Amino acid sequence: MKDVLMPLYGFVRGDTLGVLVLVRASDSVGTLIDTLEQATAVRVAPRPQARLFAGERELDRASTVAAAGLSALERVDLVPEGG
Amino acid sequence: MRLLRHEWLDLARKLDWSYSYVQERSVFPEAISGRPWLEQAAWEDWDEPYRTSFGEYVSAQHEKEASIVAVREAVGRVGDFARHDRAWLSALKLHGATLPLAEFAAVIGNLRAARFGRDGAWRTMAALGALDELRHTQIPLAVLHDLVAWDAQFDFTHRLFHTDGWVAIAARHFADELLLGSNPVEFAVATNFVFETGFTNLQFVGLSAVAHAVGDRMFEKMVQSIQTDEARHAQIGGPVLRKLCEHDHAYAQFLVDKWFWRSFHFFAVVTGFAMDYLTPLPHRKQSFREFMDEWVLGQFERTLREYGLARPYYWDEFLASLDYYHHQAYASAYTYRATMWFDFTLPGPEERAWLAEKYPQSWPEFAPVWERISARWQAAGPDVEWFTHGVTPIGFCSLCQFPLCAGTPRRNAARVVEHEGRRLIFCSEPCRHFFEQEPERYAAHETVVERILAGKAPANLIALVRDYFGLSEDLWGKDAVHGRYDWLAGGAAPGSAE
Amino acid sequence: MSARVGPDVARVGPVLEASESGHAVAAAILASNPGATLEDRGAYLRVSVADRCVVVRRDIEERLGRAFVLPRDLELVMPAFHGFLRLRDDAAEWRSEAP
Repeated sequence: MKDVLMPLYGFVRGDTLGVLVLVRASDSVGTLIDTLEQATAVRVAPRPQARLFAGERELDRASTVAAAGLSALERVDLVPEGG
Repeated sequence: MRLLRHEWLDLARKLDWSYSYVQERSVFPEAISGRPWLEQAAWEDWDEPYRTSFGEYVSAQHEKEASIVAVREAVGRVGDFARHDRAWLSALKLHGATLPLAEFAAVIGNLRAARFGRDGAWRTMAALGALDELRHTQIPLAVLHDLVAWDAQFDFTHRLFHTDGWVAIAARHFADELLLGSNPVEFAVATNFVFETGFTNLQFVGLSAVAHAVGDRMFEKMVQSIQTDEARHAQIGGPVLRKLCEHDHAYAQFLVDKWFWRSFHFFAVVTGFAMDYLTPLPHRKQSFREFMDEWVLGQFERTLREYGLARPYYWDEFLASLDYYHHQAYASAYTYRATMWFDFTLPGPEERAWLAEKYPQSWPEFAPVWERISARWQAAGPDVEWFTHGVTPIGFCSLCQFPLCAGTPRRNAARVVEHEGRRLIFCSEPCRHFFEQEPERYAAHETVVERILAGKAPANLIALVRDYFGLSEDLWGKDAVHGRYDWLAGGAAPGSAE
Repeated sequence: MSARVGPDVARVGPVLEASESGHAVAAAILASNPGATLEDRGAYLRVSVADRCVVVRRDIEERLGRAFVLPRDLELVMPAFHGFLRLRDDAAEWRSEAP
């Protein structure tokens, strides 16, 4: 499978809008979390131990974006630990 | 012998006749006149209250123009505008760019009704409405675009609708459907009833009180004068809606629901920004929410009840969004200000205290965002615009084309939907609902994100703003005082940069 | 149509430009409609009466000292109104129920 660039709609809890981030299918979920935090850092301070969700499903930080089952233009939500 | 007014009036304004050599359905085809298609006899009792003849119209309009010219000569020069706070000038730039050319599209919608409306009195009032909308285009263009020699951002008074900036795309998506793509029946419900009777009062009368407090007599006079026309030709809406309710109740409800939602998003940005952020604090009287209460809520609900219609099905979601949507949009827009043509102001401690008092339920969720932005200004110092500016592209709603700002900071309301092999995103449930009711109307339209992904627009934000949105560095939006706020310089803003 | 009472009663009437003519219309309404209220918002005056608001042309003319032609002169000073409007040559009326 090609290591495609994948656009995702990211929503960080506490933020005021949704952003569009580009990640590689081979990137880890942890990298996606960092990307989302940087993309929204101007409005929301990054929080340690934030958790990423696709719908109700929590994604494992160590897994790759592809292995986590994400596909282009899906919605992901970054939530600080404890909600 | 001289005829009395009531003896000639209807001959001059409510003239219909029976067709002898052509079918009525050919004179008023359903495709362009709208549905439900009814025989002329069904429209005979149609009427509106102003019952104005063309001669009376010309005489009244002459008087209105003369008084606008007098005010402009007295207080409508560059020197008069130069006295205003820069934030208020931004409210004028936002108004000037989004409304006058939309009014020009309304000329077309009115002219279509002036030909294809189903009753003579309706057609007469729509013809006057078309002349009204020409005036609503030309007066603000004259007053506001004239300021371009002094402040180049006023160029967008003419230019916005001719660009592919995201605000232009959203405004065209809304105005094209509302004013150009609707038949006279939908136009009457959408534009005359929902938009002009409900929402334009917010921007053209509510905001005139704000302009009065600011001391902007020119804007106050201009918008009020415009609204005296709107109050008249908007009277087309009620009687058309009444007929629609009698013959196709479900369609009447659908049109009201759709256009109330779409109009709310448009005015939450245009009027919400002006009232709650761009008006200098000492001049604020009421919040956007309070103006919505005064001008839209009770009146709209009561009027719907009179016509036997229900409140839109999303009413609870709408009421909740009054405390959130424009705040979400403003904080988002502040941190993407270079994508627009006017400057933004950062609400300081006093503004935030006012907003907290006016929006006790939602403001605690917005305060941390402004604390964060303030802390970054403090860390970077004045003039370092980019440190409080986003660089990542943002998502846009596949219906309203505005950023994904519905819901709350705690739970954004956006949802992804599959449509014929394509993945779409909607900012809110009603935007999804109205797309799915008429997908053929909207599906071919591409959001900014789809244009970027298709290679039609650059992904790099500076390239996007410069080359695609048509904004050069001298024009694009900045912080109104470049971060030089007294309250920031004092140090110790709450929150920290990291 | 039965009379409406209680908190749900609609308040109807014009929103008027804060000009000489606008003030004259407001004063004429306040004098002839029991329970009429006036809110002065600087740029505009909101006049409202429960359920039904009426103004007679002659009352406005007496206050202005000059002719006041309906519908023309009312349109000039009325950017908005609440309720359903009825206009005659000699009076204007705003009602809470649809015509």
